[in-house]
Amino acid sequence: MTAVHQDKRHAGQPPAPPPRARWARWLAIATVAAVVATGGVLGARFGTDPTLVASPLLGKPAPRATLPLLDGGGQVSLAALRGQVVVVNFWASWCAPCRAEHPDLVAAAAAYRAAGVLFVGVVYQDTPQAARGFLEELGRGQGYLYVTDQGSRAAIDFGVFGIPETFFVDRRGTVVAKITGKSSFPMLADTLDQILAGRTPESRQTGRVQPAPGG
Amino acid sequence: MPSPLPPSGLAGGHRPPTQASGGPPVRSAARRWLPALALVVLAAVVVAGLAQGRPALRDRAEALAARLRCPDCQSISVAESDSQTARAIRAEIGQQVAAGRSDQQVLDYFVARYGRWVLLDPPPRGATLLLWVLPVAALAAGVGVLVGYRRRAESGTGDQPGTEAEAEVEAQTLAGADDPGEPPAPPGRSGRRALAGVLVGVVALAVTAFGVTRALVPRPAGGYVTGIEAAQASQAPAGGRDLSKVSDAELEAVVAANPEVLDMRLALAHRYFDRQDYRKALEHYKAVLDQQPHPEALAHVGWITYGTLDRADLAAELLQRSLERQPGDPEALWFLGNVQLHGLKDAKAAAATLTRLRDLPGLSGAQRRQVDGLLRTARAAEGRR
Repeated sequence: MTAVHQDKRHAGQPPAPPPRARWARWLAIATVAAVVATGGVLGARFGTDPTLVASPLLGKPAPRATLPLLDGGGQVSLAALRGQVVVVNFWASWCAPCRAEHPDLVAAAAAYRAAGVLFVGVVYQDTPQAARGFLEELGRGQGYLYVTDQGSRAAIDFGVFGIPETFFVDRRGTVVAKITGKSSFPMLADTLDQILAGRTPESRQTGRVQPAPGG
Repeated sequence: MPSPLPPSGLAGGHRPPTQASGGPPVRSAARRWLPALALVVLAAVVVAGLAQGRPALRDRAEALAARLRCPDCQSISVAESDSQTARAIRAEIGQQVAAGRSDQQVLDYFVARYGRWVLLDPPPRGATLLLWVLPVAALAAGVGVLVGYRRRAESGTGDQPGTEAEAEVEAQTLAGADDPGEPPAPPGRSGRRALAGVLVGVVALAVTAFGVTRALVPRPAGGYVTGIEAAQASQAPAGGRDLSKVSDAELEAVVAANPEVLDMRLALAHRYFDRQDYRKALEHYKAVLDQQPHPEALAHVGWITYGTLDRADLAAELLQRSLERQPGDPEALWFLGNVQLHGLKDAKAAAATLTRLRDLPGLSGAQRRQVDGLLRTARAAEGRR
């Protein structure tokens, strides 16, 4: 390229604009274009919620956690619940959406109890006292299992970002759906109907989850 | 002006006639290798500085934690966060490392649960491939530009001054000013000047790079990722910012603009509380509680509940919850003692709470006397029963 320009120069043609200027101008345009393109591609991601990721657990076997019951002794083994449809909901007394969805979860647990659906409420990063206080205030579901998760092992196994998050496990022990954020009775019922009918329900994101305090 | 280059006999203007067609070999070789040499020296300095200055990661587990994103934080790694989830993940990493699992196995374990999102390094595919490719491409382009620039400057020396590289133009002009009667101007002196400039630049860069790498210090336990405590320590030696000169309206505006900054909102709420404007105070405490069960907000809402609604039972519950989260908070203990004594008429519990408060270290003499006074009242009430 350099040689060509210089040949022209030697041939006595008018070098306007000077070759270096033209070359530099193209370089500048290319640089600006590259910067704008990169900024656009990567900047477009700023608005997206990082917690809005589909759970990699969908279609995979549910984690096999064994968790102590919140009330009284005894523990619940998720692996031992295979054969039933299990709804695993992570909650805490400090979580505002959990408070809002609590009546819907209790109602769904009652409505689907006869269909063999078991609800498990996992206390997420909360003291047992505070969790019990929450249940005493808002009421416990019939046959609803409330368990604690010391050290957040189960929360990590389920890949919980914040709460509430609700996982649906089918009879074969496979995670088939997840509701991220506040659930509602229609949403829970719709998902459970599909699981009971043997179809794969859709997962949804209903709002932001609340991360643990002090995070 | 000392120069590391051997004298090429140009300083006195005894310039060989062959200069126009090629330039002296020594000088052109120096020009060719100087940038490369400078780059190598800089790279060596940075590497040496990093090797000495950077604190080594304690072990594999910590290195792995630094590569994972904390799930319930804002863009920091598991190693840097003190959230309960981050602590649990660190414990899990520790166990897996101790069990002899490889780095990739440990990372895969978390990717299987949180997705690729959990890896802090952007994956080298898709749109984020740009992040890996662009620096290399920019470096290649820069080297290309430099090479082209130098070749042009060399091949064009003494040929057509108007189209030369800038340095050369400047050099010619400077030299021309020195020796106005001598066209073409000898580039010897100006070349040396440029060389000295380059050397000074390289030394300055090297010093900066070395200084920066040596300035890296380990973060104190619980310190901020940004290292802001250094700035804070110099600015505000005692107890953070002075908010007393900020008006209510200003603080309201700041709080409204930053609804998630709880400390600011708490300061405003405390201000209303101290002025006994409980309606406004309650509004802000509630906004804090909507975001997290902050012990100070719980305690003050409890006190307001007792003071305005006369609901001692509810107040005591809120205060207990506050104390669960921050057991040694003198204010919450003081509130609770009062609620138990006057509201719940439970002198025994009040005495226990106040004894707990009295035994706290760090109470001032006046505070201690106040507590002692109420404690005597409580004991007297207890004895009367």
